Amino acid sequence: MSENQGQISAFPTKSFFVDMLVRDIPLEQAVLDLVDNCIDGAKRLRGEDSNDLSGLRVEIQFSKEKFSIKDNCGGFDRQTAQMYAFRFGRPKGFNSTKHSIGQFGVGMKRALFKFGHEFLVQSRTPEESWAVRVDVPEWEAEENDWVFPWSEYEGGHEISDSPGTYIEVTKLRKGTATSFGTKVFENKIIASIKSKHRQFISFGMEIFVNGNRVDAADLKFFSTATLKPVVENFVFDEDGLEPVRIRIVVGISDSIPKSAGWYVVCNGRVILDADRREETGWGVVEDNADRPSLPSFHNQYSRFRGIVYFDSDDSSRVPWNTMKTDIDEDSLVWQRTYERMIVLARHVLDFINKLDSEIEDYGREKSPLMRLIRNAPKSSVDVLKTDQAFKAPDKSSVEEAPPTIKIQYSRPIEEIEFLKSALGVDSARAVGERTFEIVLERNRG
Amino acid sequence: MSSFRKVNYSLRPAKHAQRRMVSELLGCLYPFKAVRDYQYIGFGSLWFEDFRLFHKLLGFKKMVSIERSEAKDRFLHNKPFKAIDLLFGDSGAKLPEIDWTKESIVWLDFDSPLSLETVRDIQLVSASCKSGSCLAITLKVDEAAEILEATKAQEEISHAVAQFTSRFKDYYGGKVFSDDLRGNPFRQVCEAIVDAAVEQKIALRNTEKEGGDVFEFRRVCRFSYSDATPMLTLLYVFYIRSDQSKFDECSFETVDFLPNMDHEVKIQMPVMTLKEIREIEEQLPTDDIDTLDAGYVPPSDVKKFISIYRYLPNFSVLET
Repeated sequence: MSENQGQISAFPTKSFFVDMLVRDIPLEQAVLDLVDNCIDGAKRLRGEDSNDLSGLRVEIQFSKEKFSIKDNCGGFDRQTAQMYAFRFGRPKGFNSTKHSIGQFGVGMKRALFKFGHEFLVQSRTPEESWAVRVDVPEWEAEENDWVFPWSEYEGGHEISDSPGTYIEVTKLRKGTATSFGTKVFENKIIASIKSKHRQFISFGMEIFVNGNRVDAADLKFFSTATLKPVVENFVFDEDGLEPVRIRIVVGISDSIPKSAGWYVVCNGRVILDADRREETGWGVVEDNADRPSLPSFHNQYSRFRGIVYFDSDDSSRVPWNTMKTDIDEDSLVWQRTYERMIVLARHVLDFINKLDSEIEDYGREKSPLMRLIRNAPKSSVDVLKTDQAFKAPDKSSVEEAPPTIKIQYSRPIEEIEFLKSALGVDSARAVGERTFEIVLERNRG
Repeated sequence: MSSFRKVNYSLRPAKHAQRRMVSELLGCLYPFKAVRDYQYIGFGSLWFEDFRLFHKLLGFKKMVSIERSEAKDRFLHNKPFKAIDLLFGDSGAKLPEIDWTKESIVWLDFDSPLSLETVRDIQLVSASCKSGSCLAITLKVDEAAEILEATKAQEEISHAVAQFTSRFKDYYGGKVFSDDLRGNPFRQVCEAIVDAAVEQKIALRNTEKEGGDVFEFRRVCRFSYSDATPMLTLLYVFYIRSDQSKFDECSFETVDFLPNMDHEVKIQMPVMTLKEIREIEEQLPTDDIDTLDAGYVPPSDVKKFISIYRYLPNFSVLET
């Protein structure tokens, strides 16, 4: 009889562990986790509150054969690799990046295992360089040995002279290779980075996906002397815990149903995008009759935009779930903020209702409020930082359309006729106006 | 409303020329299989123009026309050959009923702009067809459906852009501006979307495939033409890697109008009288356009005519 007769080993096998780890994470999410790590590097390098990430760059490449991501965001040292990056879960007392977005200690490993069967991670800091190369099936075969061996730093993948990290995964899993080989997946990654990392891109960080530079999806509000979005800043302080700084901006923008709703940004990372669910207050539900809420979302509200920023040096204090795909409704910080969101949104929705009834009375073309909105300039949310109350025009304060200047020029008839047909308009004047609108739209972005 | 009520296809000369050009390309498929033994799937409408032409020129014996109209009897009455089976219903519902174990030539000849339904049909065929099969897709490319929707609803054009982006963002990665939804830029956006849609399905088919079984697809040709509305036709061939030599043997680029693979063939109708047509035809073919006596026809029209005269219908005057 063996000496272990009195107990049962529950020690997990590595392959079971890996399968569990990668099972529920969508491939797209795994790629974003790696981008989050690069951004944390950038925050360590430039300071957590820095608004200047220019010169920092992330390059992602993927195909049926291989995935790679490299950055010049400072790299991380051997100790971080040993204590954090390659550990499953974060050891207590480990000093992580302040204000980080990669807070759960699983992102990188999960992504590497999700992608393929062989990976290389190498990093260079000003002081040192190191590399880890793992053949996953071999690693899994060594059942009792939960270590990753150091290997030789190979170099040759640096973006610039500045230190950084290079990760490469080969022998891709079949499903992964299938997705990585398509334009559709590339488009999805570009769209996700554009939306989730917009703030870092607008701070000057450059992110490339298969050679395509990702531009930031800009969030803009109509902002004039008579029409201003509300901005409210406050701090949520609990004894002994890192404070959470909150900024809420609510106002109106272009009438686009798919873009309307709440945006929630935690430590710079967009968690919710144009959210119109009950979780962010839309729609009265019988069970929650005591909870303040907004009317159900309807296309009438397609001009509504609300953005909520949560920032904390301790990333476990901002109200996101582990996948960074939704808010944590149980968080006290969220619950307090939610109440303010509803109050501030009501003012804006009231104005939208007023606008709607005016359009019904006057017609879209003649409504004075509508005319004011059509000509109003917009401000990016990034400049709306100081507290201000919501300001909406009433009919009496609406001025006539802003002053205009006439533009006149001549062009060959043949070219004008060509553009008339190409643009689907029927006069030379309309060609002039439409071409002006196109150039204005493209340059405003 | 079914498209047959809008226009009689047989009056479209550019469309006619395109059909004959496509038939020349289809004739190249013989290394895969005797072309007459392919099955042909299309949208025959009331006129069955493509079915008539392909049956006579290529000898297809198995042809299926999908028709969503309710007027079944009228379609059955107008069916020109016994070889044609009619399937009544939406293409999305009927395409899965096709026997995809046979080499197929499918022409999704839409008379509408790109929609999620057209993308679904394109993906259904890409996911099902056998090596050696060919898929042609025709789309209306004057402007996006979303522009018309926004105009009807009296919405601003930004609505159309947002709607289009939200529908097709997976297939088109670039930022869409309002002028991308009309004319030439819109045609290019449509090409990219169809390509991405086909590629996605082929990648999925290849998940469990290795070596010679891996599927490939090639866009052989792009037609743009306009009888009244600008249209786009894309022609793809699908094959497995072990059939690569058969694909090479097809030598599509030896066809007169296709100097290289994926060439854009612009079918432009010249403005010429029957007398002028006859006078120029008598001097064709020629390698030297400059020495050709074109009478009073402007050189640009002569050039257009020479590039497509072999594919044009035979004109004659019936009225006196």
